[in-house]
Amino acid sequence: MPVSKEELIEALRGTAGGDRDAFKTVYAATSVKLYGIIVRILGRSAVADEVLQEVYVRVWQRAGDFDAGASSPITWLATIARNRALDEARRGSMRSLDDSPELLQVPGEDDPAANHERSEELRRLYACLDGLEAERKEIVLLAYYHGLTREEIARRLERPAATVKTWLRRSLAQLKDCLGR
Amino acid sequence: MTEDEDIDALAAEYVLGSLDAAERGEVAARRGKEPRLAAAIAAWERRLSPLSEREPGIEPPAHALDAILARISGPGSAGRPAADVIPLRRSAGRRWAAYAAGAGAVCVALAIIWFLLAPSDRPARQVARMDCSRLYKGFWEGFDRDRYAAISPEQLAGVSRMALRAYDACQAGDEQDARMLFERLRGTKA
Repeated sequence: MPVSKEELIEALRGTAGGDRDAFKTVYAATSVKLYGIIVRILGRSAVADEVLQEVYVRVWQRAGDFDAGASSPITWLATIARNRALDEARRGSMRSLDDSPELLQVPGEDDPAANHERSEELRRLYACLDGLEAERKEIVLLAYYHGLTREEIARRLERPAATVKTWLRRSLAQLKDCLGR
Repeated sequence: MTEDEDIDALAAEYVLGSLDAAERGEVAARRGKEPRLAAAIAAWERRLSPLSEREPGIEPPAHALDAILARISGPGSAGRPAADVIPLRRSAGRRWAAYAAGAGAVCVALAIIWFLLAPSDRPARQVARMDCSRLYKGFWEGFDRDRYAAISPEQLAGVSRMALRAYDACQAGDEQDARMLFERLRGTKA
């Protein structure tokens, strides 16, 4: 359900005040995206379903912590979902990404709808990512979207883990310089 | 590499998601005590979060919202106490409720109350829902976190499915089935 950023901020405020309808609005507007983020890291599984539930229980409990001046509502929500999914992935929850190759696709760059909605920040970030060598850009995106560890990336690319670590750190430093903040 | 660069690299990889379990655990433990690390993490979240805009999304399972609402219904589950435990207003409801509690058949009786009163009395329906929710929520709260971490994903998937089935059975008024399922779940071995 598409709602504006302002409506979402309003719904988060309502949620902080204990308004269940406002909470349902937040869920309706964001659960598809957050579930996508979670499933890309954990695979389609009961664990992913459980994490989705935990994320929204946390949103209900912590909506008062959201600071509209510090981040956009969707960024705040996505950060909660990614962190929770990554923690779960590191607890050894098995991922079925290899059984679901479509989940290993990095969300498409050429999707016209995505392009239309692409924010200025994303355009800048992508310009900087394009400054990396193709394989290094791929590594950064694999880690971000799928939460793959250096070892997992190394296995996938058949490179030593130490090399992947060096590449990642250099790529991230380069990104930071490029973004200039 | 200077200490600052080291902290920044660690924060960057933490946010990116590429740290292994031990490193991730270490950063999570340190961020609360080290303001510089916490600031570096926040900055990297800001830098990389635009990538989440690209997530096209996947439709979550249909039962997820109900399960979430059930989990936030219990007292003390919100920053503010849940105000939606609505007492039965009808004396018939109270009699039935007392009888039910006495018989220890909370779920099935509340379902009966719901069945009897629901057409004319919406709060009763919420009461019926509340108790199954409490059973379900109580189960997950009582579920040992260490055991949760120790069991395999397949087992966890099974536990999660069975808990949902127990919740459904409770909702449907099948008390015996619901209790049996929750009992079996509590006995799940790691």
